[in-house]
Amino acid sequence: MPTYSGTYYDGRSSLGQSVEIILQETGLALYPSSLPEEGAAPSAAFFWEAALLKPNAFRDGPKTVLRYGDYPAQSLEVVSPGFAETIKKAYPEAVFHKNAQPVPKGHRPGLYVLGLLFLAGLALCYLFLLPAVADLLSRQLPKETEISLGEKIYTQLMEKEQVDSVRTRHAQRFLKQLSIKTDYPLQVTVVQDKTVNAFALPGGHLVIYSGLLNKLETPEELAALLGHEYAHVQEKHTLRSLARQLSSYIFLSLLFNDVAGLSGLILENADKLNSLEYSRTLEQEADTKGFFLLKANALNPKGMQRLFERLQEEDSSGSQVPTLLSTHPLTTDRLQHLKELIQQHPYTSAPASAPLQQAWRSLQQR
Amino acid sequence: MANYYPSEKNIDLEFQGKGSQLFEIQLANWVLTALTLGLYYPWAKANILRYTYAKTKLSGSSFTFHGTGKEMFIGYLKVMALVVVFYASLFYAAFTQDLDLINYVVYGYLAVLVVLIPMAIHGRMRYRMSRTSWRGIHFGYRGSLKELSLMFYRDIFLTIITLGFYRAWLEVNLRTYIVNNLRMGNVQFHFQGTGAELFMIHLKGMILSGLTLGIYLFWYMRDLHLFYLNNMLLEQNGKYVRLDSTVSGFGYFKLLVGNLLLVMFTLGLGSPWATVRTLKFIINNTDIMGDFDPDSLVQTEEEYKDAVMEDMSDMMDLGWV
Repeated sequence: MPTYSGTYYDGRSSLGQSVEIILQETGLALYPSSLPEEGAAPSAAFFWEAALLKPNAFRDGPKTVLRYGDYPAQSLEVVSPGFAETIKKAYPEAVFHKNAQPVPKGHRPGLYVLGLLFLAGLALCYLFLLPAVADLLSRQLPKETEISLGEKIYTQLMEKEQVDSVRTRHAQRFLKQLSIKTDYPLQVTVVQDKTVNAFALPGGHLVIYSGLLNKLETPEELAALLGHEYAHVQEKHTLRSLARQLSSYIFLSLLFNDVAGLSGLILENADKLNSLEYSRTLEQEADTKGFFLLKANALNPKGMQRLFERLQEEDSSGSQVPTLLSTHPLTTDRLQHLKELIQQHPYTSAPASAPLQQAWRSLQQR
Repeated sequence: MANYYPSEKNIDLEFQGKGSQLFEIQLANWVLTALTLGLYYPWAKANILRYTYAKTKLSGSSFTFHGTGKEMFIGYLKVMALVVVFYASLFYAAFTQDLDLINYVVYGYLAVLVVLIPMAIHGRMRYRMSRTSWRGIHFGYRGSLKELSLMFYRDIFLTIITLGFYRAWLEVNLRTYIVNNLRMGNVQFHFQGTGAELFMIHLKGMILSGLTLGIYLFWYMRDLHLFYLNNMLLEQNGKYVRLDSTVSGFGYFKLLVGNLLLVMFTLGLGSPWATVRTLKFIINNTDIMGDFDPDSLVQTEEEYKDAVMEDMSDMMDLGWV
């Protein structure tokens, strides 16, 4: 039977004792390797039954730690490369923690390849499958629910804002004059605020701040703006991006909840970058739809171009960064995109109709 | 302070883990956690703890983490139940489209979490310490849930009515209570920092971080680190031994910027290396000053079984206590 030497801890004190270990059929016999101090009783050998070896033994390189018995457990440290395997072979009935056994050589490359493939799969899920599912689900939401949800948000938002009821009425009249195909009850509201911004809520509410409205100079520009915002409503952009953000957030937190806070922070920001990219795609979609609205109304597409330019001026003047720009594609890209649209879908534009002009003039009188 | 004996001897704490080894463990954890939709998480956590403990050495001997995924799983399920209840009520509120109800759900949940914090701290400390040993000698936490809760609720109240100014005292009171109830066999831990000191560190840290556009944050972190570590004392056989950390602000800067780049450019795959760097930075910079006798510890703890709060505090991100 093979013999090993190791350090024994009795579970009552931290003082280690050098022992010789002899492997016997039913367990380990431990003999103190040093002579007892003078006066002390000579310690006898003691015996570890194989069946009472504790499962959470640990193996680290050549070092193996075994534990034995009830609380407080005794333990044994052995530094010898073959010890763990020998124990496992000698006592098949003893339960070891898997870390107590050596990792079989040659299994690792497979593990790595599998693991990396799996992670790549997860990445694909995150980048493609998850957004598609979120998109599909958010499109399933009944229109009525969407409308009443938008209504609730609108009521809450407007509690804090000063609505310009006169200009709201004119803006609504302007909107009515445009021919728009929509499933939603479109409702435009003008808010008294110098912010250069406009947004759309799910279900049909379009909100324009007077700061932006005052910057516009032609009815075509307003038509382009309304077209862009209407597209957000029609395509359920808000809901879709909400569903997307929520699903990727849940996915990432499920996956990485054991990673240190730092990387969690990075992932969250990476996700934000990702959703910023997504929101730019949505904005471009809204621009496209806005262009087709101008086309359907035979309005000059230059209006849209001027709208973009005004927003850019506002941006570069730096007085007040328009929130509209931060999530939007860069203006040069947007202008380029518009140019392509005009080339691909040419049409002859006409001046704005009389009712449209009239509504526009009323809107300009503050 | 009591009789603290300076000594030539200083016993080293060492972390010898390797990023590549932790990566192997972590890779398996990621795969299994994802395949089981998160159910594997307690086992994943036990794997990581077992490894990092075993690679931490005091006076040449490793620490041992005895906890198992199975033990922590029950706790994890209870926490998950809490999370599910929260999301279910949130979705219900969203479904009824009552925005006030959504607010109530969120505030109610926050209130429940605040009430649960002392339980989480207490449970986690009891469980974690009972599952930690060194040379077979178990750690132990002997605080009382009642005392901890009363102190916590009182301090939270004071923090709120002082608009947050009391926060430093809250942190120090908690830390003092926890550390003073901590044992490693017959070695007793003590904490001697004061709320006023911590308040000054926060004040200085915030002012200077603001003035230097955040650059001072690393030195602010160093100050906090030194405050928490260097105020720890170990009492063994009537003698006091002091913990001493030598981290620097620049060290913190290198650690955090390095970790950031490591994790960012590997899309998270490098996080095991970041973990190892962090543990090395903290542990290898900590020394034990004084006549600590590693051979005379005596087992003093009873056996303890309960892992519910281990995950509770995890979910609640109680890293700051």
